[in-house]
Amino acid sequence: MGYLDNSGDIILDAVLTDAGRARLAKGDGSFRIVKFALGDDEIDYSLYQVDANTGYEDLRILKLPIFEAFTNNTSTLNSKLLTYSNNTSLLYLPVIQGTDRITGGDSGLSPLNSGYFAGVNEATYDLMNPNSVDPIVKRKAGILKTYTQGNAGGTNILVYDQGLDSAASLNWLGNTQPDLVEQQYIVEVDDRLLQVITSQGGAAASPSFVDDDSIASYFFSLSNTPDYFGSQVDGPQVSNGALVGAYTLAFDQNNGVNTINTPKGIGTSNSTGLLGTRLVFGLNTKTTVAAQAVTEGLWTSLGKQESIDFSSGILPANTYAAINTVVRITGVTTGYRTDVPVKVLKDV
Amino acid sequence: MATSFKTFIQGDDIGSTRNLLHEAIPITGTIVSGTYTEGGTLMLGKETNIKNYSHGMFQSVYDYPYLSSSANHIFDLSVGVSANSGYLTASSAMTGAKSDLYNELCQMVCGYDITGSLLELDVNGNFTPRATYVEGSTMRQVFIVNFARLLSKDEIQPASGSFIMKLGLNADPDTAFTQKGIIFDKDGTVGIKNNSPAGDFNTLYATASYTAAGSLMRNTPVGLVFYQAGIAVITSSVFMNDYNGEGANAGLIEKTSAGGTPNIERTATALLSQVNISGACNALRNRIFDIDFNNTTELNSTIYFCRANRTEFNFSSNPTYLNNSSIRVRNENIENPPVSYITTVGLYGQDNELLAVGKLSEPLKKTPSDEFTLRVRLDY
Repeated sequence: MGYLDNSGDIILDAVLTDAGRARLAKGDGSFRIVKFALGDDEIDYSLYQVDANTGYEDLRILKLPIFEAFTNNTSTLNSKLLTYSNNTSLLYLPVIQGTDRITGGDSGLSPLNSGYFAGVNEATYDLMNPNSVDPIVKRKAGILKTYTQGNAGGTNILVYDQGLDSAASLNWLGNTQPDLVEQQYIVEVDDRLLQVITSQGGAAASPSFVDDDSIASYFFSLSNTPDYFGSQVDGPQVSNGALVGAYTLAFDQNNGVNTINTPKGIGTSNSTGLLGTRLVFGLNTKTTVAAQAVTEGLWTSLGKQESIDFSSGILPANTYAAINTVVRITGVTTGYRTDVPVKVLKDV
Repeated sequence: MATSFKTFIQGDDIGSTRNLLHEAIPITGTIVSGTYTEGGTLMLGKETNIKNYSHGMFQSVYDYPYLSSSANHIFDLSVGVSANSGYLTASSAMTGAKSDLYNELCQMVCGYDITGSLLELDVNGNFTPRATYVEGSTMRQVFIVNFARLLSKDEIQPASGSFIMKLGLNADPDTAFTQKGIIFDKDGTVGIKNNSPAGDFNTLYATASYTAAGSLMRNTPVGLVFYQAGIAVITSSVFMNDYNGEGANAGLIEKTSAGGTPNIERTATALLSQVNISGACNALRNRIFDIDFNNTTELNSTIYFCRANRTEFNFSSNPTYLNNSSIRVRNENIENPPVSYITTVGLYGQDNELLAVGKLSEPLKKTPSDEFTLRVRLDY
């Protein structure tokens, strides 16, 4: 793709996406445009200089060249513009953040923010998860046990909190700004590699649709799929598919070795932040990719072999076949999006 | 409540239009013959941008050596001779093929009479049964120029002077272009004919480009152009001196060889009788000075008016929009208005699947003080 010529009048370069063309080709009337959204994928708002003289705040932003339209439907409109009813008073907007804080000796955010590792079978997981290594070290490394269908309960769970990540005194966001509380999420995963399951019991979720790039979109709402919403320390509780304003239960997971509390991921300290909802789901790797030899299929077409040490230098590194993918979590109401890198591994 | 989608109001926000887009198509004669020669010497019939087939029914002209993936097919050449013409004898070359091609063309562009009999080509468009031969009007020996869809698109534009084909008519093939005949669509949309099963058509006229005393061609009908079919049919008589007024018949050569003596020069009538189809096509190509026409593409468009009102789309879900949860452009100051920048317009289906996307050439600043209507046109 090139950049659009921005030397003259503003022009609009419009194309059908691959999904649009596919629907046209079906000829069943499914190509029907009913709504629009505006996006700002290229914009870096950190270039906005609030303190500059009037008219000069966004000089660097306005100079940014714009790419030609991508035809891949999943590659564009990643960040959408939003309409809020209380237009002028908002100074803060909610975010979605991972909550993998580790207690019991390490109070900082774990490196899970930089991604997770998913072993596709028991042999791989055991190699990643040596008994001689401190469980906290392993947990910090972001190891997920994703090989057993239906397995859940702490070893393959992702917990993401939503809310205002500010220094405001700890409170439930719904008390003051209920329209900022996210009650619907879309989780997108590569359908060839991963599958979303419930955090308790490990029931497989059904994707809303799988697009032509094998991206499966799962739609979770508090009212229809409450199994994917969790209660949280100092935050709202979930009861029968509705939020209730109690602050008593903690969403704790026990991985069998070490109790890992998952306190809130929102707020600059334990006593700050306005908490919204908590999305909790498990990941399983697909049995099809697990069954493939590392010299064939997706392991060669999408991946490569890497040497990785999960023991912080205690043990030698092992070689794995690795495929990098991304799990994308998007708040339907607020539009906020967070990408979670996942490296799918198989021992060589 | 935050929203990122806005639903179109049917009728108000979505409209449709139909436009005709015309492109000028210039085909220089040097591409048709002479440029892509082997070893730099013209070997008519051996050019690398000319594709001959084993069946020998027609010849394809490309704009580049056809074995290259960069080559585009631009038109096909063939000839048709009516079995009733009297020019096809037992000793003629490819008698059956030429007759079949003539009949096939008539079947496609002339149709049948009420008895189910095939009509024959007529330069004035009055397609007549075989028994009704009209001297100077019925065409029974023709060159067929069949333009590729890549060039003609939906149709050749019916416009006066739109279609022009220049042929060298001088008797000596080595100096063919010193005297040119200009074959052109004189009438365009005036008197356009629609009695062909292949769609609209009109007569091609010829005139001489020089002032030789003997020239008779002054808006003489010499063929037909079928606009939607993208076919030009030229009578072979255009090369005959009793028709074009030249001092002698144009000498047509069907092939040459490097360093050798050119093959025998033949009149057009003799050429179409005695030479195989590819040889006749070679001879015609060697006499083409250029071809120009305008094509037409019918653009059916749907226009979506994406209206961003004052209070809409002033915030962003861009990862850089927030510093922690603080909106950067407001800097925790209520006096600073929310600001967003539009670079992309996405058009969505009912289930939020992105079906079309438009990009602005530069970011468009959106604040509560601005309203925009972005007009997105999708062409089909």
